[in-house]
Amino acid sequence: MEDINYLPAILAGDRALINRMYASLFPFIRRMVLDHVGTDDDAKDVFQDAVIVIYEMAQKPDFRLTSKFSSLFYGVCRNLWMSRRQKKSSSEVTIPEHAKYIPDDSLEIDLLQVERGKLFYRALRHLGEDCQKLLQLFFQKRSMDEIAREMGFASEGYARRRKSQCKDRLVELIKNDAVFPELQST
Amino acid sequence: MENFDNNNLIEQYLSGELPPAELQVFEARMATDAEFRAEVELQRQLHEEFADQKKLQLRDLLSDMLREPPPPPPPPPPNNSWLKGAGIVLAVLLFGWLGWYWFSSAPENVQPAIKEEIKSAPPSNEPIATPENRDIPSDPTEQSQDHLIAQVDPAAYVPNRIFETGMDRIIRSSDGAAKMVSPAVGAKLKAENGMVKINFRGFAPADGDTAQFPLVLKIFDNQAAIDKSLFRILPTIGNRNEADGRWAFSSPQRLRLRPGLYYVTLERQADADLIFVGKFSVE
Repeated sequence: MEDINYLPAILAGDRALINRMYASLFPFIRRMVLDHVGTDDDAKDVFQDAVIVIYEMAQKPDFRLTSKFSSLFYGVCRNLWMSRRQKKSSSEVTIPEHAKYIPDDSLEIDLLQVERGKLFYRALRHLGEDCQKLLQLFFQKRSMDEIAREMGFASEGYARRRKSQCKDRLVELIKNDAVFPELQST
Repeated sequence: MENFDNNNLIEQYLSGELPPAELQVFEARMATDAEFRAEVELQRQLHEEFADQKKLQLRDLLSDMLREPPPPPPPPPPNNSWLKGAGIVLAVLLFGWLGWYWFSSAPENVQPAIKEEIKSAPPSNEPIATPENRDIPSDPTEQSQDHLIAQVDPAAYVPNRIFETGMDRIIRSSDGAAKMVSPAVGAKLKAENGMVKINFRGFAPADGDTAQFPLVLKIFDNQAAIDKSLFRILPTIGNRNEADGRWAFSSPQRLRLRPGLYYVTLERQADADLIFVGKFSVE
């Protein structure tokens, strides 16, 4: 496995380098997932989630990369896949205690947060273009006055009502997603 | 309209702009109304998720990229190139020696050490057996029972420069490297009826690299190239030592080995990273 630190590329959203990372690290992740009863699509999901997990880890002030990047990445992918697979298996069969996968706690992966982030993103990208843009401006804490101007709305009041409608639609999409109850009940 | 008001109220609460009197009412409602509390929590999570524009762009980028198959991997970096280069040199020397040996001595009916793959039980933290670890550990005793000629060949004890160099390097930078407890480096083992009992045991470092288990033990004779192992063993990964954070590994084996010098390496299977080189001899 090549020993390039892709963390700066992830933090900067550098498409070319992330693409290179995909080319060089994905085969290992794919092999690991396929070896553990997964599919190509599962491997892609795990790869994608791991990049976001590492991005979030790196936002924490006490984060330090203490091993090779490839090791951290592989560890995160493995934790994600094994935990996800175990969760799926445990809903179908009872796994004896001794056979359970014990995730590496040092990696501190919150699987619920990972799934929630994906669900929110999926719902946002299902909204119309205007709603997406409006909500993105809103969540970036731009003032309603600014949002009204940028969106070309006649008044701040209209922008406020439109924002509320878009957010209601977003929440509706989230609540109607099949995954939502699982995220709520745990 | 009610939802509009609710939304505004929740947003004011989340941004800390709710006047004290309304805040009291709001918190009282949260305490008693589970549905309202869940609504506030969902909105808080939405703010948390979408506040970071860069993360959203990263998700877009990944989503686009993963629709395509991965591009061909970039050329490998010159990692461990000294080993590869040395392997080629060794292979050339080995061929030369074999040629010389072929023409200068009568052919011997010596059975080479058995080349095979031996797998231990899977790591205990694996939830379900996979095709790889479902394999039943092979028993070398079931292999060919051809006799080995217990003839001591001095050439079989000549140190292999490549492995010796590898051993030096790993020992010199051994802070985070693995440790082999058994067989100890330089151990002299006795063969009984051509079989040698070895309990491979040791510890592997427990930094992020440990995530790349399983480990692979490889056994070489003194004349082998680094990519030509006699045996390939997947040891069982045991418990993590809380004191030093390292993982224990072990694999008891009976191997058919003729007298000579042997090298043992430990690699991480995922990236073929060499983390230990040791040696032992069979008498």
